[in-house]
Amino acid sequence: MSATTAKVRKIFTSAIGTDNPVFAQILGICSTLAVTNVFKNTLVMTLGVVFTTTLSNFTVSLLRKHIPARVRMMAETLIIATYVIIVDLFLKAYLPDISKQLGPYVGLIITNCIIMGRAEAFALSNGPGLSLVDGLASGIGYSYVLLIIAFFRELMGSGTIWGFKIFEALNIPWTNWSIMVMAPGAFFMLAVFIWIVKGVILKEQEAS
Amino acid sequence: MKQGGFYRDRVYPVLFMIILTAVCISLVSGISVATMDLVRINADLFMKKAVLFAAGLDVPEDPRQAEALFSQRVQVKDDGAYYTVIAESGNAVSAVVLPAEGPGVWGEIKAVIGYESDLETLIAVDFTEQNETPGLGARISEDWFKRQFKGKNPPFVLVDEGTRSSDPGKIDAITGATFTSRYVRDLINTSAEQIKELVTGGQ
Repeated sequence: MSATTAKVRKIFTSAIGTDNPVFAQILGICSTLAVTNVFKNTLVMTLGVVFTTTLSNFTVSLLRKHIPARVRMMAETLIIATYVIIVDLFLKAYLPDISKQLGPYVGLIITNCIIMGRAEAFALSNGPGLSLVDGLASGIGYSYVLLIIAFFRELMGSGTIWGFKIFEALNIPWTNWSIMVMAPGAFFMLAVFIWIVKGVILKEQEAS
Repeated sequence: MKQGGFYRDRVYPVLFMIILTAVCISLVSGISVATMDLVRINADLFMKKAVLFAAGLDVPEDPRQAEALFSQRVQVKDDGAYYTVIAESGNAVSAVVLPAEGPGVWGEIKAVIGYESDLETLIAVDFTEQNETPGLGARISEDWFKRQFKGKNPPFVLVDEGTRSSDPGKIDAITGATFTSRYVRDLINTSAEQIKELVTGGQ
């Protein structure tokens, strides 16, 4: 029991910290660039990714002894695509406004390398329970990085948080940095983020 | 490869994929069929709310109220080629709403454009479909942009964002979204040429 708990803890801490899919493995960058200019859209997108990584990891792990090795990637993609389409249909039916704003990006979750990567690297060789935890942890590790980036991009690029005009409300004069809402802004934000995390936080951990 | 034999190497993978595909497809199509009505209702309601907005009416948040207001005040003409909105009291036409579509930066822009009964003065514009850059071109969906057309007469020329010109032929562009602003201007200018022909010619 304690061995499992330790394993679960290790999966979580590595996905959120030292082995984070975004800033340590530099995976899933395409969606980091695309959706992080509005916080709300990012939140919905990351929830979709958490849902998909968790369940696709679980499903792939359940089937891992039956999936023939030579068609395993096809099978994984099919499973991932199924969950993504479910997310897309759910959004269309219950959150039509957000679905309209996200447009094709929900469908593009299928191509998120983190999901496929976890299925290949973890789910194929571990049990369903652990795979579920790993999928969830990777999803969360991805999500919080994107949410931080989105927070600053929306704040600096549009002067708003969750659509609320924060600078106007606080009476602070502010000129929107248009570049922050365009793709290059995401490059800058991500680079600064990785720089801070790797240069400051991870280095301190190594030293101690 | 040899020790697996014909069944394990050739037949089993194919069978496996066929079964997995069948399972996944039934799951997805099941959900799709189950939510189909809801999706259609959403799309329908979205369009109705846009038409009400373009006609300058206060759009109720509640779906049922919006639905009721639409059926009470709006008449669909020529299979949705345009809509007429009747005044609150009496049967006079108070607004004519014209759906229009044109190019955008990343994809098509679809809009509904509301005119006064003189078919020359605008009331408001609402966008039913646009894939413009979020934070830049997508700001055409902001309230001030959609309402700035009130009392103005196309054809329009663009002026800098924030000018809020009182000239009936000038509208504010969006800073950082030159092309989106131009596409919207063209969309509205073209619709202004079409609406008279459509409304007077169609009756």
